[in-house]
Amino acid sequence: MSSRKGNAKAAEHKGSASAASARVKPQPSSSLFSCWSICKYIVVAATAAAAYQYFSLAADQPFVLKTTIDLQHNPPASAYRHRVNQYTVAENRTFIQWWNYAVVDAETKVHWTIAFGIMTLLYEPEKRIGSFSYIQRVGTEVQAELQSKCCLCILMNS
Amino acid sequence: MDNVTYKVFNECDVIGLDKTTGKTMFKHVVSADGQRMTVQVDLPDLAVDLLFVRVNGWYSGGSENPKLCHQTSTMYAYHSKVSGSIVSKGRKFELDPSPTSVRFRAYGGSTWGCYLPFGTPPIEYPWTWIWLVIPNADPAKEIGIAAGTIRYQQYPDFGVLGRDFYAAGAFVDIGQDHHWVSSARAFHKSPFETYLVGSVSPQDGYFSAAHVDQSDWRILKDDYGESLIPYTQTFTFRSQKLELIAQTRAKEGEIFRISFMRELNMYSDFRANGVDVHVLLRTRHANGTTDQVLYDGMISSPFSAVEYAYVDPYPTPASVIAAKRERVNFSN
Repeated sequence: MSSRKGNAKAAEHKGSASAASARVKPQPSSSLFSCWSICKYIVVAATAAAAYQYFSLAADQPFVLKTTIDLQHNPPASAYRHRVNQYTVAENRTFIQWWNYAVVDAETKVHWTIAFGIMTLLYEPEKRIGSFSYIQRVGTEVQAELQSKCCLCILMNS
Repeated sequence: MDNVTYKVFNECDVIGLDKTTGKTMFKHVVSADGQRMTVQVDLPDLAVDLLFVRVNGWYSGGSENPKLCHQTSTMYAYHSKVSGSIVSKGRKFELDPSPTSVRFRAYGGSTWGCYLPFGTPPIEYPWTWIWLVIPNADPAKEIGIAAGTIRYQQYPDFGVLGRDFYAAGAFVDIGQDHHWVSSARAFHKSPFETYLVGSVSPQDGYFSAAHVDQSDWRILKDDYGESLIPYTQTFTFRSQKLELIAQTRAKEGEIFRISFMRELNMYSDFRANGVDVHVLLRTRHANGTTDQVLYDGMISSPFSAVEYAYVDPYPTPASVIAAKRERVNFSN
């Protein structure tokens, strides 16, 4: 009997658990439903904003996701510095920076091109590879030229 | 230069010293105060001592993320008056210090980061650039222009939006009237092309267009081999208020290569100075029609330079060998 009772209780318990679980089950979809009830307004608002932007465009104006004005006119001297030390990327990468100069004499039409580059690994900025290029020309005439190939240069910071 | 020890200081300056004699083998020293910049370069057969007085320059912002190392540039002094001297192979050139002179102009800029434009085939993923100065005795009418584009098959860190990533920027100054147009887009040259960013200077209304087209492809032969190069490039940049169309035409022999190793690739900067450039610069109305022509014709000065840079030649056994040699040296 007791065993039957126990079984009945167990069945009752199982039944109540199952009923409880049946009551609980709708909750995720309910919470999803409640999320959607809020999110749909966000989706509708975002779509409406995008549609408004799209239909407000002038004939030659492309649709852009973001409009920014982040350029700096006549920047401070700090913009020109060697930048390797400002980066903290997780994995090592090859960092490269070069400086480029062009100088022209309009009267003699002499052009000078000077380029100087430094290549390094972000984790080992003390080991640098550098190269210089220099060329002096008038039109197609090369008057002077120098190109130090970087594979020949081992730069060791001391 | 294997016997040279290099010292880097002041975050920008580099001096190379002979390991045995201590003699200076090369030097690149720069100091700037925002408007004036001195550049000193010493190399065998070359001594440069120049003072740049900036008319215009720009910087793509101070928003670099230290964890991402994006490619960033400052055309710090792209339109400058310049004075000083250059001694090349014993021949000295004096540059006129007169502040009113329109004889000498210069460009000075720097680029840095962990990436360079690249894709397959590399020739379709270039770096393009143009520099122009149209001097005028009246400073209010002097024109300075710098512009360029970059394209990556997959820009790291941008996920799916870095696919066929194409960025462009142009800076046009008419006296102290400053204009810029810049943009970035994904899925370039595909039906899904998407403008991610398009910005202009405050007085320019909205961004309209920014692209560079190439034509007149020819083979250039030099010490490194044969390369396919566009001898004509057309730079088109447009805001609501201003339009610039600059078509450069290089002549045979004008283009030269500046090369540097980039990991296992050789990056080649094909450049020409003093090229013929037809410039059309005009203002526009809000409805897209053009208005006042500010300049229309071949530029009357030789202050021009144009560039088409890409990985070429594509990694060949010779370049891979050179790169491996470099890596071996690098780990010393």
